[in-house]
Amino acid sequence: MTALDPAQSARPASLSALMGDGMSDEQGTSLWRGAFERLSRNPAAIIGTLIVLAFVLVAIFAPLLAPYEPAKSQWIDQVTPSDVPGPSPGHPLGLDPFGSDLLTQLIYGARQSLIIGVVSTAIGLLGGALLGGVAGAFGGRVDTFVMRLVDIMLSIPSLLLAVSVAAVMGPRPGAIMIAIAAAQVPVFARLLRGSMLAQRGQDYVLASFSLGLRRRTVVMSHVVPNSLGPVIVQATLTLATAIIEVAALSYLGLGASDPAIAEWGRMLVKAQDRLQTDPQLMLLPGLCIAVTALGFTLFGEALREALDPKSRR
Amino acid sequence: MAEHDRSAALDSAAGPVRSLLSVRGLEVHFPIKQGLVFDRTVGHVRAVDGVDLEIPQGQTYGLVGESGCGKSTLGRAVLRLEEPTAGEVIFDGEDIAKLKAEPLRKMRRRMQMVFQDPLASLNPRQSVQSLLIEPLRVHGLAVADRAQFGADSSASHLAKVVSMLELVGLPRAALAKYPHEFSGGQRQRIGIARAMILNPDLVIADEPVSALDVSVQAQVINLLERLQDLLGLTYIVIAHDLAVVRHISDTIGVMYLGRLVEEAPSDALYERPLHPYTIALMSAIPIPDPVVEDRRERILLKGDLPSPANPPSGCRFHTRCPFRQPTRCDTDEPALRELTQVAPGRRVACHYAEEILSGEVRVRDADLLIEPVR
Repeated sequence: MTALDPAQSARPASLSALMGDGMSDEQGTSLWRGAFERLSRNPAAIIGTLIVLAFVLVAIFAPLLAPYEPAKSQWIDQVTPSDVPGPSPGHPLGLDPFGSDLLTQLIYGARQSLIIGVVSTAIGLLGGALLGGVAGAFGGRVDTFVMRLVDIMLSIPSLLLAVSVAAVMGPRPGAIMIAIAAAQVPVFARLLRGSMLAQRGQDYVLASFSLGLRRRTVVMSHVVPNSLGPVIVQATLTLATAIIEVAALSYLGLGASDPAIAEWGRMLVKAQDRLQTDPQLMLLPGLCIAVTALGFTLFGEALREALDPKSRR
Repeated sequence: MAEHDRSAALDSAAGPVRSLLSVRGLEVHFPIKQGLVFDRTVGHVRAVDGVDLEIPQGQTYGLVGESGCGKSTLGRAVLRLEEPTAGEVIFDGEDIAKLKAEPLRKMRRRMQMVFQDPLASLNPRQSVQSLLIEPLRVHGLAVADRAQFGADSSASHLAKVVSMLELVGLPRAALAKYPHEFSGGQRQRIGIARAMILNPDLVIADEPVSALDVSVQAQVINLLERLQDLLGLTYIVIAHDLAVVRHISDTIGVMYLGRLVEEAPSDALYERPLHPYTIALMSAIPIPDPVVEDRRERILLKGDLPSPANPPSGCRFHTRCPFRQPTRCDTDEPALRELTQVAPGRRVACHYAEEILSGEVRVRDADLLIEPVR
């Protein structure tokens, strides 16, 4: 220990001057700001964001973008059992089997998918976060009880669970959202609980306790905010799945009951028997579902990477 | 009582010194659980198994031992970050081990901890400013600081934070930054600033420099010493690096398998270790002089630390002890006793400490001794 320099310890001012280099800018980079910067350098994230953005804009501004009113069946007389009119100057994508403009239906379908996707994921996230948060915050017997409950939910295949919930609730407007949310709850619960358990073992949590913070403060302002990263990533990924599941449930006839509301999944069903003569009726809504899901998946994956401490540069 | 004699001896040596912390019979046992559905306890890991120590105000107590010997658990149990299974932790006249939640939380202002991994011990989402203000928000400024920084809470909190940063040698610009933007040494300075900002009396530093570059270690150690002089702190420094501990400590306790095996003033311990474990540890420190290094005798310590769930009978060290004597070592557990006759002020837990000191008991096996190169 001959390297100890007594002169250094006597001069705090010179020491602070010494430590001052490399800290010229006054503003720090928080975790989320760093993540945003990494996101903006990732091409997959940019593509994903663009798709998501386009989808959201189309959904919001559907009345302005769509050339006609939705689901009016104005041109039903042009539709024959063997033929649905294809693209024409008045209808760039042609008509649908009910005599409405296909482009209009697709644009309004985006709206439906967004609402159901966002609402169901929000419900699932809320329910899951509540269960997982309680299990992670209290631990012990509460944790065991809640997690066994979640295990039971998890043991039912998610689509089957959604189908059963939708069937039990009947053709109510919110049924499909609740059904999809029910299938997501256990995923979010497990994720948040695991993430909280991992954070609770960290030194900074111990440090918070040793500083004399109350247990509630430690959990709410230290453990939970640090555990949310993976949950938020999962939510964006789940949005993609939710949109597909909406389509699946509608396809099975468990979707929104009002036929006047355009919905991609139901468009697939109605196009089924015309697959050979008019394949565009099935391909176009299918493509919409696939591209939207891809957009959310790309965005979610990029977000995961950006929030991963190991990829931090 | 041996403790009383010892503190009396200390009193006469260095004037009246008040004991800030006294630990008596402290035990921390962790249950080992097993079972698929219902947990049942099949045993206990005796991480800390009956430790007594006394730390006078303003002194530094160094705690050394190999990993797994329970030194960190002891440190945490003193702060009650780990629940003690038995024993007393008397801090300034109050038994920490028996305090209820709210009084304990208030008491925490006076006892702080510096952690080994500075990055892990700082919340990555908090800026330095928020990290340092948080403890002040919880406890308010200490009485001593209120006179200096004023009664207006948020302004005086910030003033205190800035002066604390200055004290640990960080620029004001650090306030808006986040832990991941600093170097290891700077992060540890933040950790130290956070521990010191509440004006504590006792600071437990758990391996404060072992995660740092050697070049930065000295700076951080110097900082700790400077703060001790400035703020009148009492330290417990936990480390496995014997050089670090020697430099900073007044008294050193050596732990083995959950117990103190030797305790002595730091220079005396390094000059003449008395417990066989300490002797072996000291002989493992290389001397940076090839001539001296070749001439000295070294003792090999064979085998691993036995399981703390099932400590050996008798003396805990007898399974690895190079000085082991027949029968008594593996049947009787030696108490930590003061060697009043031959080395006053030192405590050793070995039946044969005097004989080892006088040379009557020697290393029993030639294989365990590395003879000097001739």
